[in-house]
Amino acid sequence: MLEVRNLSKTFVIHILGGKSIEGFRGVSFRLYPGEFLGLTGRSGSGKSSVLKCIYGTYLPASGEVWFASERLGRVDLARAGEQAVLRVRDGEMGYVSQFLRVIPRIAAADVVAEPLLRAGSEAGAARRQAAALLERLRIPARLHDAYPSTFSGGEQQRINIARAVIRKPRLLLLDEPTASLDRESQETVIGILRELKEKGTSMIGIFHDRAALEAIADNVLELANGSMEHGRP
Amino acid sequence: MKPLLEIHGLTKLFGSGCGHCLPGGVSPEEGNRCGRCGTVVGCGDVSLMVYPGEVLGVVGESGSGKSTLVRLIHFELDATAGEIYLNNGKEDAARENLLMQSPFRRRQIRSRHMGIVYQNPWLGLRMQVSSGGNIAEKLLAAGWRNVSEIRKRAAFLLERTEIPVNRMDEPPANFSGGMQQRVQIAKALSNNPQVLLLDEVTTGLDLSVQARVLDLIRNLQRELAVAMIVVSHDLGVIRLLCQRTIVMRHGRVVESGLTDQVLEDPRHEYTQLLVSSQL
Amino acid sequence: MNLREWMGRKKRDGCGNGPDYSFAFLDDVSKREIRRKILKAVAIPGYQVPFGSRELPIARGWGTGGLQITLSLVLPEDILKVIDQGCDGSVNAVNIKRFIQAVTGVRLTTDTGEATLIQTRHRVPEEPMTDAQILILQVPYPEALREVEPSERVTRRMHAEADYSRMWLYLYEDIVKFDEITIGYRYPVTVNGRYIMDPSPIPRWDIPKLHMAETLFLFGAGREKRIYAVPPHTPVVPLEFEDFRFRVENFEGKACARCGATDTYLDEIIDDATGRRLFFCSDTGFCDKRCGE
Repeated sequence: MLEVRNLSKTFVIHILGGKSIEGFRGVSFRLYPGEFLGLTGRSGSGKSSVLKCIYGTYLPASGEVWFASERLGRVDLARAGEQAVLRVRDGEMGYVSQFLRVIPRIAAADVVAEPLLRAGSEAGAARRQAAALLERLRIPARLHDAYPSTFSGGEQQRINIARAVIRKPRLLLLDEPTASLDRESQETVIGILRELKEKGTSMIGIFHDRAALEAIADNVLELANGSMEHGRP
Repeated sequence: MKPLLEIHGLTKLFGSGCGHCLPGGVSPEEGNRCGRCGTVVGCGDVSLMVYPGEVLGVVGESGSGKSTLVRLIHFELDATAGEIYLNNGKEDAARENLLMQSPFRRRQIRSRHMGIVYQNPWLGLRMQVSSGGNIAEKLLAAGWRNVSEIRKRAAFLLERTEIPVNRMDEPPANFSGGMQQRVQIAKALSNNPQVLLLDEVTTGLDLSVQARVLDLIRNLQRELAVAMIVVSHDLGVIRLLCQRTIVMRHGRVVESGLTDQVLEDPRHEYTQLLVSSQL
Repeated sequence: MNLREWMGRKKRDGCGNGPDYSFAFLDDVSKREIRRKILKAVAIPGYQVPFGSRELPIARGWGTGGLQITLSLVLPEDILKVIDQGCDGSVNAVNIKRFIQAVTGVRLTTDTGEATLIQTRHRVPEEPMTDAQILILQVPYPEALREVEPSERVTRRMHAEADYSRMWLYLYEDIVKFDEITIGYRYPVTVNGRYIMDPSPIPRWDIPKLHMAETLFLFGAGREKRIYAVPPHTPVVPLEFEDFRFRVENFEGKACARCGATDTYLDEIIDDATGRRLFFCSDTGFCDKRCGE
């Protein structure tokens, strides 16, 4: 599904006189369909940066990110054009961060239904599907028409997850998706992720919570001092 | 997928140039104004693509050439050099550099396939003509010759842009800034353009009005899947609307990429400054 | 000094034998200039050709554009008719007619059928004209777009790019305000599918006569220094909408009080003595002819 080879990231900060800051270096791994790879390491070890480099939010300094796309075939996301990355993001690759960055002034159900609409679903059906998913994530129906920006941190995060999983992407990148969730919600989220996994979605996840990681991860990659070590959870 | 709009080496010099700065204007390292002859690079060697249904952002501080770029694409300024292609969706259509076409042909293309919304509604609207008439003008230019059909279309567009239809025969001069901007959007969309150009459309509006105009643009974009070029110095607007973004300075493109990448991992010194200057 | 004395003044002063003007008053260079511009105008129907408008012994704005065209075209064998708003006998028409006759000696007529050259102000004769005739129209304001754009530079660009949406918008706004197109005369027309042209202040009644006609129509604006033309067999289409059609004036139920015509453009006249409203043919030559039959 995904093969990362020797991926590195450095930031050059011009405001600091062109100072170079290393994000991580030499990261390589393979990810198979339905596999969950956990990323661990101290804070600052570059876990989030790895996800962002795969998603395309960061431009890697070197290395390759080979993704087996359904639509485009095998593609190196590190070198692919912007259009290719956008197409992979549209339906094949999802990203959930610990912060909600949704479009303001849109009802929660519409935020979640939007990826389906983009894929060409009928509006009513998309909204029903979104509502069902929100219901499952224990966002009460009375909140479905409210703006997520007014929600609590935990609710926002669940909106975020719902939006990322509703189209059942083939690769899901998770950056602390359960950080601000209570235990019950956390379990629901893990349950949803497991279902996706069983249907073949591959995932790379950063979990603050060791127990959550152990509950779902097949393999673990430990980043230390910017480089990596393989292991079992 | 074929790009809808293709621009190569678009250049606009204000001034005659001299031995020091020609061709193409003074080098980017020196800024945008030639120290010897005073020729200003409005737009220097700009290349970009816009794909069907895509929203491309153009950011940069005032004077960076953003508006010049939009006006060159809208044929309001004559380019010094460069190529512009607009793919009309027909596979066998001849590929013609629009900058080499006659003003007559360019006007036709503009009337039929482009829409523009300016920061200043006075540029985009006739303030003394009715709002419906403002929309009608664009339709008339595109060859509509049936008054009731024109009025039907104008009413539909005004409704879509949240202007009460019973005010259709009132001139925009009677309207608030936000309403004028929405009439401009209705006018720009009237001919179902292939490309919509938005030049700082929310600058100078109150925050709540700004939000309403942005929501409208976003909804219309999703419904109509019209390709857009959004010019703004406001990174928030760019983040909200655009999948891809180019950053301009001194008339040149200094950086381009996916919007989240440009904003979160800017590489050019100027972009880093721009992003870190955000409130 | 009357006209004849003025023209013969050099002979009287003893400095020459013949009259000191060319046939038809204009010198050869002027005639060549005007004829060339007429040829260009004919070649580009509806396009306003700038020309070097000459000084004449009548004031600018009194038909000097039409007069210069007439003088540059007239031949000794021509038969001339001059009308002003359809009338052969108005002061203006008579003055112009006399002047042309004095400088050319051509025969005059009031009969449209007989004339080879007709100079007119604000009317097209009722009687259908043939390909052996030329109609020369006097034009006060040649620019059809002036109503919507004051700048000559801009209107010329608009014509060049066929950028006519503002003219159409003018008609649209008219309909929004009054529920009809209120333009009574100088009704804008599209010539040969390309240029929008001012047909001079003829009534709407006369517009259809320009369409696919047998005759050459020449338009001259002396003060504004423009010549334009509608050659024979050229489409001339008034601006109209599919649901708001161009209409000519309606004279239903009215007839000429003199010849009884019900198929002509009528002038309304109020009898000073009785206060009665009467209608007469605007085209006096045509009315005379009918009365004579």
